[in-house]
Amino acid sequence: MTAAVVLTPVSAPVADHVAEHVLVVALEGALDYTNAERLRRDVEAALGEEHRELVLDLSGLNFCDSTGIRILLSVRKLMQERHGAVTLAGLNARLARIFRVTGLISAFTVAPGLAEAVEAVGARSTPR
Amino acid sequence: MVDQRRQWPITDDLAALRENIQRYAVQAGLTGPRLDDLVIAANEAAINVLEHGGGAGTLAISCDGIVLAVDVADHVGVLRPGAVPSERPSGRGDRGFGLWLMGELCDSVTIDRVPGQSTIRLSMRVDDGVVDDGGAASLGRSAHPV
Repeated sequence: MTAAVVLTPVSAPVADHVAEHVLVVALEGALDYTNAERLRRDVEAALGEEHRELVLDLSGLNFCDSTGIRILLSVRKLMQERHGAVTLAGLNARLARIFRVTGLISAFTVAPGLAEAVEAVGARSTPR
Repeated sequence: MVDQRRQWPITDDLAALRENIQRYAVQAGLTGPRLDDLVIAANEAAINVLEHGGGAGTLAISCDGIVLAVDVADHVGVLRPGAVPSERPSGRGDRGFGLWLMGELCDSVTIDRVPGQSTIRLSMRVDDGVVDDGGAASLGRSAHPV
């Protein structure tokens, strides 16, 4: 069986003033060469026009290779074009390792857990 | 002690391949971050075969009790010795990026080439007292927490 990665929208306590612009999704399984392209399409499909901030709960993701990172970088670019960002939450040791070794951990806002990630997004996006 | 050589075909079932590598490496005594490093590096080598190495190949793993070796062979033979970049390539999509990553993660990466076949060998020491590259070298021989 090939690796599978499942994307599930999550309801998280996002601050009221940014709630409509924030999409929170959880990734579960393994993100690799065999399914990374499909995940990109799944993320793009989940994004609404109103979303400027994307929070990815990766606590259920047990593996991510360089292809997966490439896809996450392309999603980051997409959010930057919307003047927003991607926040990653709950990286396990193996994920943190590959993000650190590749130097790409600095390309994302990284939070220990979903609650902290959502809080960071709320704090970053001041009401206008 | 693991000493027998195991071999699997490289297909798009990378998840099963990673499980096989992990199972063997654990039995050989690799744990913690170094186990993660080997699995990540071997997966990158397998991706290279799927993406640039003709789409088919084999991954063989063996251990002599001191060094665990993963040999990833393609059926193309384009990859040459000395192709592992010492600096991170700027393009993240090219073959050089995966090779660079393997070099960062493993104790050594070597490439053998004969007509029609290139083989990448990833080596990791498994014996006690190995210096962990996670910045813990100054802590001596204490076991790394898993």
